[in-house]
Amino acid sequence: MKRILIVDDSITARMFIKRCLEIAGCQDAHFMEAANGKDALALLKSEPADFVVADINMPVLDGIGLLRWIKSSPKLNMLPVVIISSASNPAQDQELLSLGAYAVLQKPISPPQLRAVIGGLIESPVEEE
Amino acid sequence: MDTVAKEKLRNAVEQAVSATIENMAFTVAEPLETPPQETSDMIGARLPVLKPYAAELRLAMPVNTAQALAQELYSVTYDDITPDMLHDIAGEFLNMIAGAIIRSLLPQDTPFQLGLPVAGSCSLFDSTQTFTAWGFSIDGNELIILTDERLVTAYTTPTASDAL
Repeated sequence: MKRILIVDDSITARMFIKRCLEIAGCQDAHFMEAANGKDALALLKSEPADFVVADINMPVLDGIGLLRWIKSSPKLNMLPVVIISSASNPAQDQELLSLGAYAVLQKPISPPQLRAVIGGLIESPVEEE
Repeated sequence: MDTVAKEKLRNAVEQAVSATIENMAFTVAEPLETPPQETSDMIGARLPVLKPYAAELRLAMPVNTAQALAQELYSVTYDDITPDMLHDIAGEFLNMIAGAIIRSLLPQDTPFQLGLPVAGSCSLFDSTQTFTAWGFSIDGNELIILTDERLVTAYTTPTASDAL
């Protein structure tokens, strides 16, 4: 079972991302949620995740800050981070990818878009029972 | 307002609202020729655009529009809908609509930054800015997007001196 952490300050966005992930092939996943980057990092200390789906624009610690923390952490730097943002455009996407983002998607997302991006993450044989 | 600039903004707003409503609520948003009047009892949200040019967008909708969206999004009955849900929907929809509008107005190689949306009753919002209202009908329910004049002056005819 995949363990997926969804990070967004909007409960509507978290619910919609979760629904899209389920349709995109993660219907059996265990979902964890955090409302900002700081809460996400706290959760990741105690709960392992297979990948993170995070918004950019959040209070306390935003998605770019979260991405930097994860990629600079010896324990977490291999953790894939998919960024989903309403303020995404090609220029910003390139910057996020250079910081180590696995992929960048524009809000609102759709299940097919998500499936195309995370297909490799949900099909890879890294399951640990 | 310059006619060409207003048409550019109109197209950006209509495409952004249409794509967001279609994707999130699986229904159609039809532009209204005459936008409804924003009233103080509506559910609303405001969102600042921080870079490359300062501006502000707002969303306003009657409670019944927000309730219909909540039912569709959360798959809940009216009795289970909370005020927090309605405010969160207003903020998140405005966030997505604003991103799509700014993205379509700016060149692809220009990054932009949005602030955090603030949602609540429209009675809480006042401003010295002049807003243009764009009205939509979603299955008979009204939705209003308000764009301040800076979106036309800065984003449809940008000059380097305007950049923050």
